[in-house]
Amino acid sequence: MSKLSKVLYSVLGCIAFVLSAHAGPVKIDHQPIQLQRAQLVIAGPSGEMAYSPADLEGLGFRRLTTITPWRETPAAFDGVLLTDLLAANGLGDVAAISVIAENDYRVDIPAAVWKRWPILVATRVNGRPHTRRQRGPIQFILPMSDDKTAGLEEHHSNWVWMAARIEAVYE
Amino acid sequence: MLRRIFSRERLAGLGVVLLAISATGICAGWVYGQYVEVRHQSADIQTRVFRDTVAIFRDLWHLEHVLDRVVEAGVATDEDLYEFGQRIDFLYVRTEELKTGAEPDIRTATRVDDVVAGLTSVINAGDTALVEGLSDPVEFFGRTRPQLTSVSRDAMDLFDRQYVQQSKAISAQISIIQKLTLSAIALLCLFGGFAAAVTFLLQRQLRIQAKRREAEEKANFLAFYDGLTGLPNRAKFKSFAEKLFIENDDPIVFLFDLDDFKLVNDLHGHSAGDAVLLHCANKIGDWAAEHGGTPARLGGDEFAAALPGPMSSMKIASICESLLAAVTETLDVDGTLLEPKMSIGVAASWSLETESQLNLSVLQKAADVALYRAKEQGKNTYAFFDGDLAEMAARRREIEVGINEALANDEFQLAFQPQVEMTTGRVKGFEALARWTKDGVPISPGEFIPVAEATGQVVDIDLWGLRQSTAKVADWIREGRLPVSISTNLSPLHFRSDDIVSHVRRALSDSGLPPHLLTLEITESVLIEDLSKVTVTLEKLRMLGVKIALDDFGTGYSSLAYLRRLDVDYIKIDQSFVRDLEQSSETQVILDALVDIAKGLNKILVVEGIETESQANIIRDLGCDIGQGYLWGRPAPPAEVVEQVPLVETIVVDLQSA
Repeated sequence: MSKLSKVLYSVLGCIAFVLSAHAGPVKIDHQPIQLQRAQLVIAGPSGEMAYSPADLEGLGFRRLTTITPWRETPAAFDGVLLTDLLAANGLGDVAAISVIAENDYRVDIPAAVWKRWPILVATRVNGRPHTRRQRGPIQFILPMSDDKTAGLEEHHSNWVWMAARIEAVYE
Repeated sequence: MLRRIFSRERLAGLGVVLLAISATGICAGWVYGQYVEVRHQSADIQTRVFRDTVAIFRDLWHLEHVLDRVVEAGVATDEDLYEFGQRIDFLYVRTEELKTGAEPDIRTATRVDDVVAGLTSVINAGDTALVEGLSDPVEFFGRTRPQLTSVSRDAMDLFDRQYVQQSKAISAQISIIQKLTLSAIALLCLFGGFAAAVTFLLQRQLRIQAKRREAEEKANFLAFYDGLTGLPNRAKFKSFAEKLFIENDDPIVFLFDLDDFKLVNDLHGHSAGDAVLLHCANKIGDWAAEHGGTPARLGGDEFAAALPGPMSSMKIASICESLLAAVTETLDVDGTLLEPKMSIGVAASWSLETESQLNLSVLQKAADVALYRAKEQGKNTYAFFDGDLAEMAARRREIEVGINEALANDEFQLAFQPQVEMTTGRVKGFEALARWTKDGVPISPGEFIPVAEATGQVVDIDLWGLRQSTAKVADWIREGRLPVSISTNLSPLHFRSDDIVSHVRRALSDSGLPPHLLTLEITESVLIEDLSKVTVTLEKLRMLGVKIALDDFGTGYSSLAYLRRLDVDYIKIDQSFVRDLEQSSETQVILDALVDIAKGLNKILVVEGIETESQANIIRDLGCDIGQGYLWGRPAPPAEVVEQVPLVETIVVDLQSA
């Protein structure tokens, strides 16, 4: 390989990484996590539905590579898109959802937020199962680019750790 | 050079600018400092520690609950152990947050690290227990429980300290905001004052400039426009007319002179005179504008206009008549009805000879000649400059030049006409007259005197006559003849001049003539001038001892008021009265009355133009004192009349025969 080709490939590689980091969640394949005790209950119109990490991963993986408020280097988060999850539970058209965490944390997220930015319900970090000490096992991830596209101040509360329950908020 | 570059004003200006820049820099620096401080304080308030502290209580409460439950039950289920592990995980994450959520100085002030250390200790113990396995969970939980209480107390303490810290930060912010607000108000006042001062100075400057401009405009106006009528003055007229002469091939110049304006001034006062001037100026202005020309006031009661041509003589006549009609309308000045009149002289380019160069000066002179003719034709009319006038003008010019030469070459001759005592027939004196023969041709005084009057040369002729005649009569006396009086004419111009008194004094002293033998003849036109000044001059002349005669009485606007107010010795009745004396009984009545008036006022009456014996008889019968006319002799050279002056009788005593 000539020197020029190396440089060219490196540049292309960088562009590919940047594109993957900014092009939103991409599809990815993993074997679902089986041995992690956690669940996300979704209160839909036809009753409640409990998802283990393995159940969530069964809905299909997406990857979102981003920094987070507590991580300075980018990490690749894998999980299901919130929109897909809501749609699967008949909550595709709700105005807002209320998300409750294992530690009783609670936040309301209006539909405008997940329509504007992709919110990933992540179960893995850099390909490995998401632990509680890493704010898992199930966590809401928003893309946070260096230019603060998602806006740290505004959306800080939307990175829900240890998510346990989603309820529809009806106006 | 250096001094100019670094002048005091520039250095002062530079100093002020540097001072302003420094002051602005200091202000900006101070404000930025306050801003940074606020940011810092805000960062303290916004720290997540406060929020995390609250969350810690919740997490600790859950953990305590698990521990209490197990200790109370005396047994730990798998579910209890799972929940224990889960709560330890929560505390772990919370501790991580607590480690990164505050600035170092806040961490110290709030002793957050005490809480972090307590939590870490609990987490480590829990981790060890979970990894190694718990042989006696109840005992472990019971041992750990007080630790949790201790951490809770530390967290409570942290909460308090945060509260104090944040209160301080808020107070500091309020104080900074107060300071900034006061500074802003002070700056606003300062800039407001500065703006007001600048506005005031600018307005003042603008006012000064406006005043200056106004003054300049006024000065410009006064320099080129007449103050009373607002018409262009002579200088402006010249520039306007010269422009017209370039643009137009057949310009026409009109000169206007108000008729008997001096009389209006004298009889009705200067305000009436001004009203008449203004009236005429307005009419002339409108008229000139109507015909696309330029009007002007040349001075006194003289106006002018330059109109673009060509215009036929019919057209010119018609517009002149329309102007005269407009001017002549009756004017009411404070109840006095006046009827201004004027004469117009017109000169058009076609009325000049073709070879003469066409310019304003030529046309203006021509119009002046025409004006003179209009006056001659009886006023309130207009006259064109034509060939005859051209000839007349040339003749006038010839005479003007001739008079100068005659004065230089002593070409004027003296002529004496006798004045006779009516009762005795004795020659009482002579009137001295100037005669001029040019190249052997005699030139009538009727021709050269008006020219001399117009040019001012009449003063020199007067003076010449005064000196010659006084010298001649003084000589006669020295020769041993009886003293006779000598009358000499003073032109109005000479009478008005400042030199008149000194001229007469000099003539008397040079000739040695006794002053009472000299009579100065003045005409009524002198009296129409400023009466007080006339009176002063007359008084000075009479102080010299000379006599004064009022000449040509009865021809002009003979006002009896003059006779009362002016101290004259003789009144000379004009010869026109004598001419029809024999036919007209009215003239006799008038003359009779004049004799009575003269006697009543103690003045001596002199009647001119007596040619026949019958005229002399009538006049003698009326009681006139002195006569003058061809009956006793035409004006003749002194040498020819000297015999009429008898020698002093000498008594020869023959001593021998005695």
